[in-house]
Amino acid sequence: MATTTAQKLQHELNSLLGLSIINIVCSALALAFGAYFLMPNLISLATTLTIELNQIGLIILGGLAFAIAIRWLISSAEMIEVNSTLTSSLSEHKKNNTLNDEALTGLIVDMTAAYRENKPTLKLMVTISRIAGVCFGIAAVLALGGVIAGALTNAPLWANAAQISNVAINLAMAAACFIIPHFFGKYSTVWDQRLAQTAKAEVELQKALGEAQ
Amino acid sequence: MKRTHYEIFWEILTFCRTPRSFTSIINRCNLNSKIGQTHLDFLKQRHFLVEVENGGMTLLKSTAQASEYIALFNKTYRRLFDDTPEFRL
Repeated sequence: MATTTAQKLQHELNSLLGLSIINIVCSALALAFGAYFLMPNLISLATTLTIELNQIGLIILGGLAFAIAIRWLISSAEMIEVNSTLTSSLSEHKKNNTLNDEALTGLIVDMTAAYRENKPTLKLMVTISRIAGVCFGIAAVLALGGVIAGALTNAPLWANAAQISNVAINLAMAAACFIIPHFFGKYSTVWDQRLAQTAKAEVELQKALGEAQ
Repeated sequence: MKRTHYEIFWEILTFCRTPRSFTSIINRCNLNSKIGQTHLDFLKQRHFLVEVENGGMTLLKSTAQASEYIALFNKTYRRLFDDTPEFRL
């Protein structure tokens, strides 16, 4: 029983770590793409002192992606921090052979408290991920416009290779950004179910304590 | 971390299986002294904790009544974790 619970704890921590790493990668790419759209247009604007409508759009899109990516990166790092604290606590108990029923309960309490505390962060990450998905989608459409324009001028396909790969990367990122909320949703469903059971358990615990505090 | 007072009580009571000072309890359970004092007063009032004298120091020790609460808490929290589906990527 204790082994099963410990394995379940370990699996869940590993999955959460995996999810946090996916988030770090996506947020880093969003940051890079934000900088890619923001910086050259900003520099061109500053040096030529002429404003084009599409440049303004790209600056806004890039700036938005850049700012959102930074917040996303910070939230992902916070998730990793919580995860590593719990993982090292579990590993230490395993190493010292102290992973008894009480230690497991302690870890469950810590995980429950961590979820309670990070629930708003998770919601924020889901929102950010969806926004980033939309931004990547827009970037893919813009890049696709470039590819189509290139094709219309009868340019050879290889000349458009960079634009085509840009479309592919943006589409892949948009897909990843819409998949991440699905996994966070799964994680939240599991933990919300546990929190609901905790609320029921509190009735029993209240009785054991004598009366309502 | 956001813990319910039932979770904090459990942490205090398991920690106080061996007699502990007020300072060590609030440090270990990550409580501020005001909240810590309120919780400890409640647990003493309910006879879950008793004061013991040790070398001129007043320490707190959990009682047999506390063991019942600890056992119930362990059982309940293990069940809530074991009976729910596992999160996997």
